Amino acid sequence: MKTPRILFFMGKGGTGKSTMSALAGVSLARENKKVLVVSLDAAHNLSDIFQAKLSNRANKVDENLFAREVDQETIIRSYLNTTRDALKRSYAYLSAFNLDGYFDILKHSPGLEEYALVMAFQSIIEKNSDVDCLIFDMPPTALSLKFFNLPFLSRQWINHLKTLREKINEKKKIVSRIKLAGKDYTKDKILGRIDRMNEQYLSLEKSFQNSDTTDLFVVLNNNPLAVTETRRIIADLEAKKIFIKQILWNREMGKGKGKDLSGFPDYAAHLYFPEARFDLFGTGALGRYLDENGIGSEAFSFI
Amino acid sequence: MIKMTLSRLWRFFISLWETADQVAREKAVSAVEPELEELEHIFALLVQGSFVGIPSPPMQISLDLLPLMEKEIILMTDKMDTANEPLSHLFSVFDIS
Repeated sequence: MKTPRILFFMGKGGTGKSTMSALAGVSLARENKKVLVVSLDAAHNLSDIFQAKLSNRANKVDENLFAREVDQETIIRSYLNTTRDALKRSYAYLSAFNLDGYFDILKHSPGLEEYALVMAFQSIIEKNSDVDCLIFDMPPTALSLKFFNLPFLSRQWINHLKTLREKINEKKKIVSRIKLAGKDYTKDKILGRIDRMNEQYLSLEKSFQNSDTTDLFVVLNNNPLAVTETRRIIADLEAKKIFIKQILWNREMGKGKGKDLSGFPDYAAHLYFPEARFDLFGTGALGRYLDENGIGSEAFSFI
Repeated sequence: MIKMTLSRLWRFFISLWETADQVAREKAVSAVEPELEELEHIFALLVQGSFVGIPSPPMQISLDLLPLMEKEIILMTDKMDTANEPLSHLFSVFDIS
């Protein structure tokens, strides 16, 4: 089973992440690579850019090129319904008192946006092994950073809970051995679940850090706020050993001449995209833009 | 007759031995069990702390473990009864009067 190349496009809102994702998609598809562009941004600009009606399924927008939009709300709802059903099964006796309906409130749990994106990301990776490149158009900075931070933060909690759970099990074994001659000790389901979560987040963490399979692009323009935000994104990701591959300057006419690049790391290349003379709507216009500005697939391809 | 008496005596000693063994075993874990209970309580508080307003892990960790934590949640709510008198609880654990 081949592993698709993963490309993330992130940056400050309004800098052109969706346009860059679409340009990368068109450029790589022209090289006979099967490409799926996925919008994880709730703003969903991809359907306007590709001039196509996109949905939660892969929709063909050109030869070798597919696109889809992820609906966060649907994913959160489905996850919370699964949790609610598991709770209802565990506390099935409550149905005798008609009390199980109180679990329904779970579907309104807040704070699951980044987890919904992670679930969507994992599901897309699993289901698209026939694709050469998976391009993710990310939401604006705050949510994107939470997305990349999620496995690291979760693993800190999980490791702590695991240590505590192991201590509990050790004491349980002692009690069981002395009081019941070891008869009552059964495998701890909670520890099993913690171990599975740990594996899941570790694999995610490694996939973000693996520059052989994953490329991160930050898109910015000459707006000073976008520049400072980009520096913060790079520093934040660096702390998690996730390294940006390319810094894409959008609407940059001077091809970077005289630009102050201090504060940007040496390991990331800078690429300049001039302002388009026409609307970048439809794969035809995107292709024309690439041709006119001499931007080939090597700009996005590290395969 | 003698045989019956001996058999009764034997049963008596066996039962005495079993009771003494049970008492000794209970005594041996009398300090470990409350500690275990407290550890389970801490675990429940850490995972489901948002119920009582303390910082909790990312929501999905709490939600994923919630269906498996019936015992810990019962323990957590039971603890609310003794939460106001931690010292008296401690004294009763160590049998200090």
